[in-house]
Parts: sequence; C-alpha cells; structure tokens
Amino acid sequence: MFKVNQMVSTVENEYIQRLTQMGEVVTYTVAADLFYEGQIPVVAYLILDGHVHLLKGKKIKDTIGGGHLVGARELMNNINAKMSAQIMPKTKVCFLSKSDIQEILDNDDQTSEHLEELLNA
Amino acid sequence: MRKIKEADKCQSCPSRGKGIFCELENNDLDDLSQHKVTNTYKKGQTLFVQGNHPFGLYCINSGNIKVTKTGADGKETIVRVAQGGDVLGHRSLFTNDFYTATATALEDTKVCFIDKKYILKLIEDKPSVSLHVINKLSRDMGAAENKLTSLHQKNVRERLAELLLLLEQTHGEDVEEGRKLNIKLTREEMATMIGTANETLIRFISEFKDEGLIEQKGKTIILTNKEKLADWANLAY
Repeated sequence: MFKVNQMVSTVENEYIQRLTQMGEVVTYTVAADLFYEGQIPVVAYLILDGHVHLLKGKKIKDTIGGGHLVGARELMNNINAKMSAQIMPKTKVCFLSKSDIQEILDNDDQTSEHLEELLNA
Repeated sequence: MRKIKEADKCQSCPSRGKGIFCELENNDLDDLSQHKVTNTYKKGQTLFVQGNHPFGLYCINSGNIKVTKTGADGKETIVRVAQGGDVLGHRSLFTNDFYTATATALEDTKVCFIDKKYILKLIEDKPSVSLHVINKLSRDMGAAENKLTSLHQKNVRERLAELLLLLEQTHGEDVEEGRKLNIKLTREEMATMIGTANETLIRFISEFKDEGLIEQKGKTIILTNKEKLADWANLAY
C-alpha cells in the first residue's frame, strides 16, 4: 500500500480481497457525503469501483477511484479529516469499521503489516 | 490507537445518566470510549441519509437532531427531534435495512458513533444495554402510536397545542414569563411536525398569542399558560 495524499492510500489487489471479506460492500445509487472536513470518519472506505470526490470547502481537490482506501488513518488515530469526501452515484465501496480494522490488526499478520504501515505513516 | 481526550470519554458525557450505557462500569466505559468516534456536526450537516447503508449506532452527547422522512414528492416531514442521551440508527442496525430517515443537526451537535460489530457484541454481553435499547424502542413505538392517533383524531389547533407541550417536556426551560422552548425550529419545520401547511401554523400561532397561551421573543416561543394549552390540546389521560 502507498499513500496518494494524507488521507488516501492505494491498496494492492491481493489486500483488497482480504479487506472486502472483513467489511461490508455497498453500491451507492445517489451521491452522498461520506464525512465532512474537520470530522473523524465513522468508518474507513475502500473504493472498489466508481469515484469519490475529496473537497476542501466546496472545491473539489482530488477525485479517487477503485483501489483506494480513504479515512483509515483518521479513524484509527482519531484525527480530524483535512477534507470532506463525497461519493458519486454507482460507486461500489467497502466499509471497514474500527472493529473490522482492529480484527485485521489482531488476527491477519500479512494484511496487518501493511495496514500498520499506513496507519502509522 | 491514539489516546482519547478526557472530554470525549463516556464518563464525561453530559447525557451519561440518560443514555443506553448509563449502567456500564468504568472499565466498560473506557473500552467503549476507545471504540467510538466523537464528532461535532454543524447546523445542517447530516449524520446519515435516508436510503443509505447503516454502519452503527449514533449516541447524542449534546444538541438537537431532527429526524426526517422524505416522500416521493420530495416533501420532508420531521418524525422526531432527538436530543442528548438519545440514540439514532438503532432500528436499521437490527433490521439491517437501509436508513428509513435522515438525521440532520439543528444546531452544533456533539455525537458519538459506535460501529455495528462492537455495539452488537456489547448488547450480547451486557444485559443492561439491551434493556435500555428495548426501553428506547418501546418509547419510540409509543410516541409513533400517539402521533398517528393525533393526526387521525385531532384538528390542527389541538395538534399544535400538543406539539408545544411535547417540546416543553423535552426542551422546556424555566424563565420569568413561563417555560421557554429551548429549541430552534423554523415555522416550516413545526408545520411538518403536525402535518399542516406553513400558513395554517402561522395563523394558529397568532391565535395562541392572542389568547395568552404563548409569547414570542424573536424565534423563541415561551409557554405562558400551560394549563389552558393542555386543555386546548385535548389530552387523553
């Protein structure tokens, strides 16, 4: 995994499969706010397909697609997000809660190594 | 995990005595504090949106949140106003359905989020939490039945009087003139709560003022004659 910006990391295919087994996969039919700037995301979002906009104020600063994990570092370290995230319609995403991530860290040595790298970056 | 701020710990919650976790012991509250996410939502920001997937339970620390349902015509109806100590999203959590309503902050509101996996385990392990959740669900059910009866059997004047008394119970504050409603609702929002048009609500508010039941200071409503209001509400005992 490597970081695209402070909030986003790219996840390799091998780990995407493992993470989706742990979390819940949902496809959004309409656009929705995932979290707001200045808040801690309530879950981490692994984008599988489609797009998520990252916004500063009302300006789109970045658009990320499949294979990106957003909000995990903020969620696990209680850090406020520097940008808001807005999911676009037809985007497929896997939600990873604090408990899901903690379970991976505790039980899955291979994935946890990569997750820890990201969380401590 | 990074250490939780003292102010964000469950032990420091101003609504601790009213919430579903009020009977947990200190070590359980410490564990819960580690697992939750605490955020402040600004006025107008949404916690969750009708039709979206539920992730867990929202527990209100302080502030007010309106829970609304949007109809096929896009019309928004307030189904209830949640306050400190209330929980939101619990129904979708158990049914695994999508959220059936939208929760929006009416003012700056501090809310804690607990993920589904953790809360379900807590409910399994701690009977006091389960009992408090059942209590909340029962109260919600009672309130929904009352509202349904009210919409069917009462006229707009009675429904408005009933709404004011209900808001007084949950958000009332003593002032010199009577009981101030410590909640910021627009007239449009109040109208949707009793199932009437904005113009009709404004007309009845004027009537209530003329009859000395309420006073208005800016957007704030003060109940000046609760007894007469209860009479007008035609409350069943």
